[in-house]
Amino acid sequence: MAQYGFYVDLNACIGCKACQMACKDRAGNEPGMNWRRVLEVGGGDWQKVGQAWVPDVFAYFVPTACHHCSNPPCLPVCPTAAISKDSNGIVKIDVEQCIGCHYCEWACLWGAPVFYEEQGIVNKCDFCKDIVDAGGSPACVEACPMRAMEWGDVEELRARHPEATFQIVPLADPQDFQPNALYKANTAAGERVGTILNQEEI
Amino acid sequence: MNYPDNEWSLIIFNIIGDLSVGAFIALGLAHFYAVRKHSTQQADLLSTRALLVIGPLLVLGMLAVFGHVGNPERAFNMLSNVDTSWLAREVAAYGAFLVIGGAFAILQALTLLSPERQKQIDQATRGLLPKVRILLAWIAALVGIFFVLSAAMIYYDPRLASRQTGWAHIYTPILFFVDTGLLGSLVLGVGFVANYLWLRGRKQIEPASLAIQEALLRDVIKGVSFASIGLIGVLFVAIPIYLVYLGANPNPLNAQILLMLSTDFALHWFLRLFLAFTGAGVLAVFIAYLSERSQRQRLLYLMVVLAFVCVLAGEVIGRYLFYARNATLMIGGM
Repeated sequence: MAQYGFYVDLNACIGCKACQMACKDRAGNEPGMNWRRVLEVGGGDWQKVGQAWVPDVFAYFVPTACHHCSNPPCLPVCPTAAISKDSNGIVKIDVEQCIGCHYCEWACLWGAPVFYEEQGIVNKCDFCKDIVDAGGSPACVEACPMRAMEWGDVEELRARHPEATFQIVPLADPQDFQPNALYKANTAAGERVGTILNQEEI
Repeated sequence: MNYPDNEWSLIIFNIIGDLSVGAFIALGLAHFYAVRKHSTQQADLLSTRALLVIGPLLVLGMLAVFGHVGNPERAFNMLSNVDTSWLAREVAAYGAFLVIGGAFAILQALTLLSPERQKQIDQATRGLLPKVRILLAWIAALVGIFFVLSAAMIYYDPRLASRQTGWAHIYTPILFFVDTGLLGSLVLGVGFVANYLWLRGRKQIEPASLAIQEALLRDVIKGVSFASIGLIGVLFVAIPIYLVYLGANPNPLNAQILLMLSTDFALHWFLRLFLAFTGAGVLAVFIAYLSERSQRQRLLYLMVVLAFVCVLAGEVIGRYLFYARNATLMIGGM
């Protein structure tokens, strides 16, 4: 069984949010409902250089969506068995089965499931399954003007980008859920730890 | 931490569920005690009417939970994953408790029939009924305990632990079981008082029988007060241990919870502790003292009602705080 995943080069990403918009467009989501979100991370401080204080700040962007975990926490807790993994490792929600109990929202570390008030259901990134099955690429990957994103079998992505990792600030520690997203760390931050700057937006 | 104003349906559902299970089990204990001390007839007189309140409460709880889910008409889908989902198990247990407890209550209600009407039931069935009743009561009690366990495990589930750090502590199941015991026993105290006052108001009951009921009521109320004092003791040992866990755990969410408990939710937190301590501690001591005496019975009954109201109000605020500890969107560990 294949396991699809995403790779994002955080040095190339400029935070234009084209991926977010393409995802929203394809999913038909209303404003404020995002399956893919772009986190704006920043930090830094003033540094004394000689007699002067100069700003020494950094910022980078982290596009994130459902990571289609190999061991997804949302799947076993769902009371309706609406969540499943398909033969490509895509974690899907059967919206006809879902009753909108929010339990998957409570379980996901990265806030991927989104509740739809009007329909009374939860839904999330489905890896653009219909497009991928027809031989295309997920909308987010296709839309990226910087070509910062890639998709494919996660083992192939890992082989192509051996330096890539999931341990990126500010993403929560993956525990044993095995998220299938790989990031090439942004080098601007160095050893410094930033914080999410667009908390309200995401 | 956030203001969980969308979670009132869950708060009501959980409180009613715990209260009903607790009342059912406490009622069983009280009934058993009354049978041993006097007779089955006196025990039935004491407990049957109190039992009949639980059914409508459970139905109310079920209606309340529909407010939480987005598609209540698909409620039966919630039974699809009992293999791995504690939420599915909770729903299944709640339904089973409602059905089995309901069947037991119907059989128990037959004891309220007049002797003439009871004689119309054929003898073989009459002989079998008590055995079936006891079997159903045991099954309902066990299913009820499983319901409380499942309800606690929804939040204490290790698969949620890395995100819901405010729930990932043994304090969660302790809270649920203490609530069950406190609310169940105190509401039963109120039910017994109401039942006794109703019996006293009826002219048909013999004075000797009424005197037995009065003595039984005082014994049961004393038992309720001792249970409350014990349970509130457990809670007040568990709370500091939980707070130390929050303080010692490096997860920033826990620091946030502690901060909110001492700022935005400080009044809620104070009221929750004050009401629980007043109802299940201070008033319970007075109730235990008064139940030893045959004077000041009206004061005793008033105290029982007041203790229940205090504990119920404290539990409502406590559950509100419980859902306030639900981590909202947490993409990162910050």
